[in-house]
Amino acid sequence: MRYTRFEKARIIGARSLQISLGAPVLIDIPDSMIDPVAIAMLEFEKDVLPITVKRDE
Amino acid sequence: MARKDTQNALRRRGISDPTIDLLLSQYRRLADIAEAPVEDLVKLGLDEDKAANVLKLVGPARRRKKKATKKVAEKAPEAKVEFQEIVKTKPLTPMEEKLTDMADELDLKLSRRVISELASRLDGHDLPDDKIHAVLKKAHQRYEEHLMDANESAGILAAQSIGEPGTQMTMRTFHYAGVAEINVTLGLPRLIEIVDARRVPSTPLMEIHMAPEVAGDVDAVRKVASRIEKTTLLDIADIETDIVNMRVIVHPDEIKLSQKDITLEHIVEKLDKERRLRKLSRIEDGKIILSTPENEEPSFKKLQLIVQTARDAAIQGIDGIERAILRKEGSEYVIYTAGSNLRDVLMEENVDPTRTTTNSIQEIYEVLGVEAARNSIIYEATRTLEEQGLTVDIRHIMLVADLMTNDGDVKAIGRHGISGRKSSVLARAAFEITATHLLHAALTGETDYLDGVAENIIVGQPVTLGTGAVNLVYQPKNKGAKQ
Repeated sequence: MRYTRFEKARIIGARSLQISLGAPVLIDIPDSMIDPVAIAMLEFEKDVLPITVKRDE
Repeated sequence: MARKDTQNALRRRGISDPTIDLLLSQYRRLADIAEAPVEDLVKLGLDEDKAANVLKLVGPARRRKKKATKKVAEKAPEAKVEFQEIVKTKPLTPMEEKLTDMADELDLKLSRRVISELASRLDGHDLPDDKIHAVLKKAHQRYEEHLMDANESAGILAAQSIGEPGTQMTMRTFHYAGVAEINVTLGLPRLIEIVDARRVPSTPLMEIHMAPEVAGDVDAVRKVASRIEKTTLLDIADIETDIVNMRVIVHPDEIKLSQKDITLEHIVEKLDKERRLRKLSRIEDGKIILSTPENEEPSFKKLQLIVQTARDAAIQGIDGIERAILRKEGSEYVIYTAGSNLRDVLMEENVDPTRTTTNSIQEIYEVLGVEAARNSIIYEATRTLEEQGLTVDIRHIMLVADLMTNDGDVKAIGRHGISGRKSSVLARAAFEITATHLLHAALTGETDYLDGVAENIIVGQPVTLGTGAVNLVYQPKNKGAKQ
């Protein structure tokens, strides 16, 4: 499924909040990477997030 | 009251005051007098001649009225017009057909417009099929990229995109480019007029195209123009008041008559239709004489009234069409008119109904329907903006037009139209007269489902647009299946 830019922003936003609150990161990241938003974006691009959107048809 | 009306009515018919007093002692209404037999009037103390005269003066008016209503009733079924279907779809060119088939084959959804644009560019170049496939795929990709995302705030974008250029529009009224004399409302006032869905535009206009057979013939087109244009007696004749003989002499202008294809008999016939001029006119060696009624005492006031009525009497033309002007466009002559009456103009002979338009959106709605009205809104708004040198993407205007015509008739944007009819109380309260709306909602127990943007901002929730409209769900990923 292709995400619209709103869906992408919402998913990354939700995930970065989790990471900033201490959730375990799902991928290997360099130690220098500390920005939760950057990490969430990386996770989103690697397609490892167990989050998707519900669309009403 | 009734007594006074009757008295005035009798006076207007030229019945003397003592007679009127006598009549009113017995009768209250004009109709009663008209129906009364001569003997009854004689009993009132009138002599026989006078009684007959009174009946003659009172009677005809009533009977004529009856006839008139009858005529209307008879005419109604006649008005049925046979409709001719004029839906025309442009046939596909061979190239377009080929591209459509190919797109189907590749399972690509492309709009007709894109296909025909591609076809016009590809025509003449002898491309192999696989290259055309590549072109189609690329076109499809670009097409998808340009589609608007779901939950995009299209309305706000449209409002901004029309509003910003709108601030640069002038408040001036221009004359019509190329044609003298016809005034056109342009710029901001015209745009407001369109969006407000006014009943009648401040400067109604028509653009009348001729059927292809006659479009190039100046004389034929001019004939149609003069038939459409409102012509009063003053436009085609000199009117002279003959005070000595208490009559009005009309000297028609022969040249103008032949230009407009009007005969003297025609004028007399039209004058007879005027209420105040009935049966007063006759033709006398090339002139028309309007004499004051014989059975009435001649007075200057009446003569004056006859002159005035005659001067403004409509001899020819369609209601509402004030002026018609010819203009050559390419090899064709087109009629431009000040004033508009789409229904009647479309019925005219030699008029091409497929290309004839008016700038009155309401008229288009009434004659051609709501889809035509929508197209007209788009066309008029685009043209108004373009004339000011502003380019607004047509999709913004289309959205406005769609909203206005959404439920089957043309509604204004604003208090009396769309904004005033929103289903949500809070949205309406946010727009105008807050307290009234809230009070009314409280009294009637309205429910607000918080579907819109304004409501959600008021209650402090994310709005239902953009990111706020996305619902996230947790869906555990099966790692093995993924790879």
